Amino acid sequence: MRRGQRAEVSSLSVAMAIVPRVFCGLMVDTPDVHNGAYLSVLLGTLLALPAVHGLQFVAERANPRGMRGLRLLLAAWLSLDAAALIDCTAASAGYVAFAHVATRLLALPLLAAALRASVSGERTVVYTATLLVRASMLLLVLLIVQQLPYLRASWLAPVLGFGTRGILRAGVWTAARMTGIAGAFALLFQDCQTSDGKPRLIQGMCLASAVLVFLIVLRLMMAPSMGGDAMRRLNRLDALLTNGRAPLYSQLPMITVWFVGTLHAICFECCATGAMLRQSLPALKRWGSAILSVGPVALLTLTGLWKQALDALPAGLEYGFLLGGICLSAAAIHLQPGGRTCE
Amino acid sequence: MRVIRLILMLLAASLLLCGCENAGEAENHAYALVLGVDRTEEGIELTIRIPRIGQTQDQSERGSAGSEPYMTLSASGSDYAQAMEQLQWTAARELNLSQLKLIVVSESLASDDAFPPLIRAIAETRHLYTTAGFIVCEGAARPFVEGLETILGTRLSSEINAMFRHYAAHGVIPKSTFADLYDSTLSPYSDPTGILGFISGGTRGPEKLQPKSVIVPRAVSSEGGADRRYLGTAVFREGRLVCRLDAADTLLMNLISGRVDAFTCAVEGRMYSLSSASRARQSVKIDGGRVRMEVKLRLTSEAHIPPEDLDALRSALAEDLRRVIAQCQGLRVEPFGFASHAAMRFPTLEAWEAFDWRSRFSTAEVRVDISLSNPVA
Repeated sequence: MRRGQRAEVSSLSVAMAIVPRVFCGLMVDTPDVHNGAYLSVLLGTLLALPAVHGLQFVAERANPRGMRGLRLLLAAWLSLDAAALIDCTAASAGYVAFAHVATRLLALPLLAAALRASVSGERTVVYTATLLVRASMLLLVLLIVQQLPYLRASWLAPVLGFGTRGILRAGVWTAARMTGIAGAFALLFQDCQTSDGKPRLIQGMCLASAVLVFLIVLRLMMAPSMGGDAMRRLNRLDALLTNGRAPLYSQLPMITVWFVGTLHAICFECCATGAMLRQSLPALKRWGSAILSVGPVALLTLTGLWKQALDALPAGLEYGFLLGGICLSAAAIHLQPGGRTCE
Repeated sequence: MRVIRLILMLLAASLLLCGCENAGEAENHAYALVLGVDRTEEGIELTIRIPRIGQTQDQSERGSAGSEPYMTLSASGSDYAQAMEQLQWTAARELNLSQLKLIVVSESLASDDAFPPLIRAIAETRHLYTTAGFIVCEGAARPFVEGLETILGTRLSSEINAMFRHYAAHGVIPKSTFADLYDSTLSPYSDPTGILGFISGGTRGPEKLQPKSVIVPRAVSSEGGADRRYLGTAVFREGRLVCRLDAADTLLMNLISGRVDAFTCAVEGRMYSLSSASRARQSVKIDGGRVRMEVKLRLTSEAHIPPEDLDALRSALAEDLRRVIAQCQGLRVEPFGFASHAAMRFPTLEAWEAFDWRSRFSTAEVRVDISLSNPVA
């Protein structure tokens, strides 16, 4: 892989890791934001950009030992987020085909895939993103062409949807996701490189933001805003995956893009957790770090504890913790002089 | 060692190939093409029309008992869920609702207070294809469903698709699916519609007088043709049927909504074919609580129209359009699509719902602007 190509891979990889996670959360698990979801994405990007820029600044200058705390914080956060995403993906599989199987059992193959990805390493997962992007783009174009006659721009109004409170809450939630995922890239790829080789996080986040706005606007034009019980997860999954408006044959590309995207995001989050554990504890081997990263995710998913943990941790607090961690690490640069030395 | 690891990995991966778990023969499924829903003394009656898979054209033409290409099954229950469960048993196969082409509901049920929760129950039925056409039939749903047969084609599904394309092209039915009914019932925009269906030669049918301008088909006899006809619109408000528009009013409604490309008009016995030069434009202005709605149509004629007929046609068409809108205003239903335009003027859904569009629509000022031109020489 050429040095310039690595940077290009990173922008797409950053976007490919962020887009499915944020899209899943906003369109399925956040009922009070509907029409304003794309505004939440823009707000989240604005909040996340300075945080990630700060993290990249810290990652380039701090002593690796001083970053240990931040890595462990991020690893813990990614485990929690991966558990939430696995639950959503497993519920999707149950809705599409396996209605008679418990959601927790449907999570098992996803955990197995995450374990395998964690063993493969972060560079493999990141490079896979470029292949997945090409496949997803083709299916996405097919999907848009099929859905075009059924899209109605008038359903985008009113633009603020259920109100500014929901948009703000979802915006901070999005900022936490973008900061966490892009931050993982910054910490994982902080090897000594020239500027050509550095992961282009800011470009990746902007690309993710643009793609998210596009996809969310498309989704909002597929079905009208509905209130009350219609906003249940089941109905939102139905509107998203099967869309009671388009022909039956157009459901296959929608479902394929959905599962490809969410599976990749799950694999990245678990893999990044394992990689950060290895960076913090160099004695850990690959299999050991994979089990230590996927094990807690499995525990949180199969026991349902992830929901209780996230309910106790509002979006603002999540973002606050990540931001706090970055600020403390920035302070540690001065407390532990010496900085980074390139080998 | 590497080969052994590869084999073990492949074996482990094969355990995850659960996608084929529910594979089965086509004959093991009862693919419902039409679902009829009706109210009975017991509660709810469900009727389905399913194809006999493997039935050849020769076998059906022989007409012997049990050789009909389609069969009808019915089941009743105290409510929809019970009726559906009973239907699963009646079908004696895995009931598959993912290939539905039509959902037929009787007019009496559609007008009942019990229908709104039933809409939701039907929409949430697992793997029911909600993009099926939605029909409100005169009389009971069961005889309507039983009589659905192929006329020209070999498959009922393609027969139904062809018929709806034909009727929709002439603008005499709305483009209405069950998903539209469900979504529009729950969403705060325009009111949903359904297609009116009836049996030709029955006791009722479209009986309204022709309005002044547009020409549409009336009910025809069933000799040698399809006896299930689809003409007109059923308009719903809050999930209940409140209004029926005949074929002519449906054409006018579709003109306002921009869903008709070509139609026939008449003035003093002379008929002219008109087509839309561009999609109808709707606009809504809100000024201190007062609503003003405007529809702009740009039409061209296929043949030359004399100037006196041009003016007469324009004013007759405008009058008919205002009449249809006024009729709906009187009933406080809005199936034209004006609500989506009005909603753009509000920042949040809460503000839009507080505006009470239905009341404002009923007292709104209406302006119809028709531009009608002759073909360029």
